[in-house]
Amino acid sequence: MIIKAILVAFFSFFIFLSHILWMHFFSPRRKFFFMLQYFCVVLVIYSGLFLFQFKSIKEEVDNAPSIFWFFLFLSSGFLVILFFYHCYLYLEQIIDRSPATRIMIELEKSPSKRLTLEELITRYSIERKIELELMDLVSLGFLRKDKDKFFITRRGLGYMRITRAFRDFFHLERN
Amino acid sequence: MKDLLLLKALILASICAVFSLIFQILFHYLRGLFCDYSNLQPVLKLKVKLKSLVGIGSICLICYIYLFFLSLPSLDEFIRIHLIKSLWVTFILGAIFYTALVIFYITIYYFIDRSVSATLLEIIASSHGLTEKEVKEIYGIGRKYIRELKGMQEGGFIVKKGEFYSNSLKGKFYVRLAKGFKNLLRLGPGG
Repeated sequence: MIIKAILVAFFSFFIFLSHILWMHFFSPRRKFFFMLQYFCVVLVIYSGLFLFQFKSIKEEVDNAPSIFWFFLFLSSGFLVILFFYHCYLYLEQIIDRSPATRIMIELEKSPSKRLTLEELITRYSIERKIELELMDLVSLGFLRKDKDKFFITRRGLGYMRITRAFRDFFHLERN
Repeated sequence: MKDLLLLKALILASICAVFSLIFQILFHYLRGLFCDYSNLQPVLKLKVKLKSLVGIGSICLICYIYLFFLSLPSLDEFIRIHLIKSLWVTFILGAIFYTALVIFYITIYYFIDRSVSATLLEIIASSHGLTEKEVKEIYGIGRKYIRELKGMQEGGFIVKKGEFYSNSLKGKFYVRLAKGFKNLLRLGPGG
């Protein structure tokens, strides 16, 4: 039963990935809300699929050798641990490095809890962020610095091509 | 038997992961009392954190494997009596699994979408070398502020009245969470 639920969940996730086609051809303006709505629709589909009786899955599960399942279940725990760590790291990066978070904190810290754009620029310098990002990219080997100029390395080029392909496919703006 | 093993693996892994992350946060908090990493270059800060994450994560994995092979009759009984036969538990477990996959996908999506470093690489790749000043000019610092503020307005985190920007209730709640997390992990101003 539980294995069936997991398999149906996996299948539902692949159905969710069909939103990629929508985002590519129709490019909705509010992408996150679109994905949220899509997630909810597929959750309903998951519910429907869950109630459906899959006899062939039950036979496959019953006939598989037990050592296979033992190894699979042990590995599923690894994935759970990886998932928790991924979420923790992502949350920390968002809170630490996101300009949006810093901007909101500066707004809250200001005496009247509101700022104009000019006041915000004096309190939080995105220029400094660019400088730190460039230092990071040099440390990671994506860029090299020759005198005062930055050049992209092969490693940086490979990474850039992947992210650019992703952004072009989803019609995402440069950030 | 298979359902029992699978549920046991998922429950034990979740417990081990949660405990290890709590330990991780405490470790960073206590270490922050003696060493100040908040002004380090971001990637060096991340490298320092990754070392402890990998170390504590490895201990967590070892604990999980040990518990998985250990005989835990009370856990097995609890699973057998309360969880395996329940249709709702099975349904919710599958829904959680699907949600976890979606969350994982969305975090990767937003990492690539919002990445400033990816944009900087594109700018530099399309040239024959640029100085820091040239990179900043092409990137458009002013436009970045406008984009960020517009995105936050659309997300309902800030409101604009006249020339002034201020946090909405949603934004204030987020700021409290973020500040609490930053203080706990000694993250510094960030941004």
